[in-house]
Amino acid sequence: MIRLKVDSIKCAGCKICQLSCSFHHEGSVGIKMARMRVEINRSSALNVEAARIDLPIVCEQCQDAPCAEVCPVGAFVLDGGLGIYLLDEGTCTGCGVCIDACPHRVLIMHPGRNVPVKCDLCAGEPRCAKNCPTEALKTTS
Amino acid sequence: MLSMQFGYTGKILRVDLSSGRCRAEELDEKLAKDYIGGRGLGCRLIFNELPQGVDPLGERNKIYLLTGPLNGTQIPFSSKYTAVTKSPLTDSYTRTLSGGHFAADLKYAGYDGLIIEGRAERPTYLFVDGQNVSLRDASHLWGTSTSQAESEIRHELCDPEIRVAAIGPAGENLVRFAAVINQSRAAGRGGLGAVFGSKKLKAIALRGGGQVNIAKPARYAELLGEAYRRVKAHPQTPARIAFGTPGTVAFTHELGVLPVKNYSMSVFPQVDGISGETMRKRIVIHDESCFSCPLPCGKLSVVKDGPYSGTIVEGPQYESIGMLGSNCLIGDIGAVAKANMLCNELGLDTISTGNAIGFAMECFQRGLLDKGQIGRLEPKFGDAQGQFEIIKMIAARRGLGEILAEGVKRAAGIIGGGSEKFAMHVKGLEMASFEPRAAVGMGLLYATASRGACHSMGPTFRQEVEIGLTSPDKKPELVIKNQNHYCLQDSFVLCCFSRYGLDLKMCLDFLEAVTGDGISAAEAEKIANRIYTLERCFNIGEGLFKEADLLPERSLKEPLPDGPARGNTVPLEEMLTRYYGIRGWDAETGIPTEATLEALDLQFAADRIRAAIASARKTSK
Repeated sequence: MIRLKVDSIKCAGCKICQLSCSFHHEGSVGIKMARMRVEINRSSALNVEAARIDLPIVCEQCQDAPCAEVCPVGAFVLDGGLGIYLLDEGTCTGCGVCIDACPHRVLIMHPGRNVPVKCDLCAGEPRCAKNCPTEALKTTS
Repeated sequence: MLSMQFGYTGKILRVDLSSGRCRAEELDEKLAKDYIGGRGLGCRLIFNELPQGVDPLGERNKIYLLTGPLNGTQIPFSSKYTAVTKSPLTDSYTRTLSGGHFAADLKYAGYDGLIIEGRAERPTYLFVDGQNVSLRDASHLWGTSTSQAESEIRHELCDPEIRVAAIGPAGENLVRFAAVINQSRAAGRGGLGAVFGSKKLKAIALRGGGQVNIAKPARYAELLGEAYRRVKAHPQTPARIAFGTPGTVAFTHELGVLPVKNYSMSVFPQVDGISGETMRKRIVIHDESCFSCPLPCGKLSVVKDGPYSGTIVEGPQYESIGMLGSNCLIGDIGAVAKANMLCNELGLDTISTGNAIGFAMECFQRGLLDKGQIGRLEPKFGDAQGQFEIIKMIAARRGLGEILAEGVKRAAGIIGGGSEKFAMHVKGLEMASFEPRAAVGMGLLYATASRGACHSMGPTFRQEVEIGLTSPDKKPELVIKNQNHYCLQDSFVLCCFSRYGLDLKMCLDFLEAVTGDGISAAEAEKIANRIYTLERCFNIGEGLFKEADLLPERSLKEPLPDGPARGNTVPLEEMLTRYYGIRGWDAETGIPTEATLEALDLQFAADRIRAAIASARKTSK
């Protein structure tokens, strides 16, 4: 099974991952619609460990998936091939309880469609990892 | 305005600090076509809007803070913004750049640029949150360091992702080489920070939630793939990632190009102590990228032990190491990092600061500073603690700092005693970390760069290594070629390290994919010439003629005493005559000819040029 692996010590904070994610899924050149994010904690670098200065936060594809668990209409569907939950936007009512349930706060509400957007591993070829210049994000199987 | 939907946002925000009025204006499509954006657009706007002879630190000066059509995209090296204003150091044109995330977020906030005019009554910061634009009280921030201002603004706006570009005490105190800092990246050169300070503008804060539209997404994606492949395959990429710009220190020193002891020599026995390799080993803890950049050349440094322990800074970069290090005979990377941190926090340009302190150290050594000027201070070469003290004094305009805060040109006028011969500046802007006698093309570049002795308006050093560093042959051609390339680069706006993979053709291909509207290489060349010549016209209107294209006496008459370029001076005059000829400027006077103005569609500048010539004649009579 394909998963994303984060090695945050290598992350340089360029946000190419966010740009790649937005562009692939939404055709949007920006970072706010990405299904993952990089937190930049440089100004307090003395007080944080090096691995947290630039910190990519990706969907962990939780096995117990709190997002799917709390969904009142069962809009998250387990994909057999990838072994992850995908959102069925037709079923979703846009209530947003999954966003509050996400332990990594990585689910976001799509500003236009009023549904949450969740990492789908780009159907097996995650663009964030593909374009990451420092190998802070990698695909593992 | 159809094409403006792509690449450009099509909007410029004009902010009048005097009246408090903020309004979005349409970006003039014709100007965008003729000048691209960034620096090109800035030079056209400042030429058009700024009356001649305004005081750079007065209410009538304006700031043009601009992006270009490629910013905010995923294109490698597209992180920079450009600011154009009238410089308090040179009393003429200046443009400065800064990286980080600011340019992208300005686009995402919905603007191609900001025009800031007037003067606020009390300390103020500008908050741009999409269409909601506000001028907010900054009285409580006045006096804070740049990083403090950033964190306090984020705190009061309750958003850790707000972008902030701020001045420190140096800008507030109108130090003529004060910088504007955004997350430890500096719009350093030319005194933009002092212009902010004169307008009582502490900071600009941005929240950018939007996006940039791409005309040809498939082509854009295809080009991105190619660009990433090229950056990865570039032979110098691994070294640049490992050592950043400081990786150049050992190399320039070996060639005699690293300035030593206020440019009086070129051999520095302690150079290993400030090399990129030493820096990586001793203090670098993390690599850092600007927005969308696949080449993380930024280095986060922490000094963990010794006298400079507790220092944390992004950098130091090559230029800061040369000016605050070898130029002041300081050979400890920890000390340079600390000086760099002080400059960033106080909001000072590291290049001008190091240059000015080297100048003061030489004045002291020659006994030119009297007790009234220095008090108990003894500015000695090699004294790092003394250097830190002077940095703080400059920012506060205290004691000797009051004199140095004026820049070395004016400082030499105050100190006298022949010190102007070794005041290392052109037009008032302090020289950067390239010794011109050991790379004479850099000398011609300093003499002719629109903003004064600047390395970043088309550096020739690397190509000069190939064709002969000390020979004037082919240098005018090379300088013009690089100056023109930088005109385009600063207008797209791209980082100078776009050379690690993006050639002009690729930049133009990206321009077409992003905006849907391509330009040919020949058109690009014409735009570059147009920008450079218009900057020249602006400066002529401010009274700068050929006499201003001059290097300090040290560079012209004092042979370099050591190193591989030993015995050399800069043969400026012969290079300059050829340079003017190729530019289509009068070989005698350096003034663009009417034919050149016409060829570049700059007829609108002709009246100002004629008037300037007439008034110069009157004065000389």
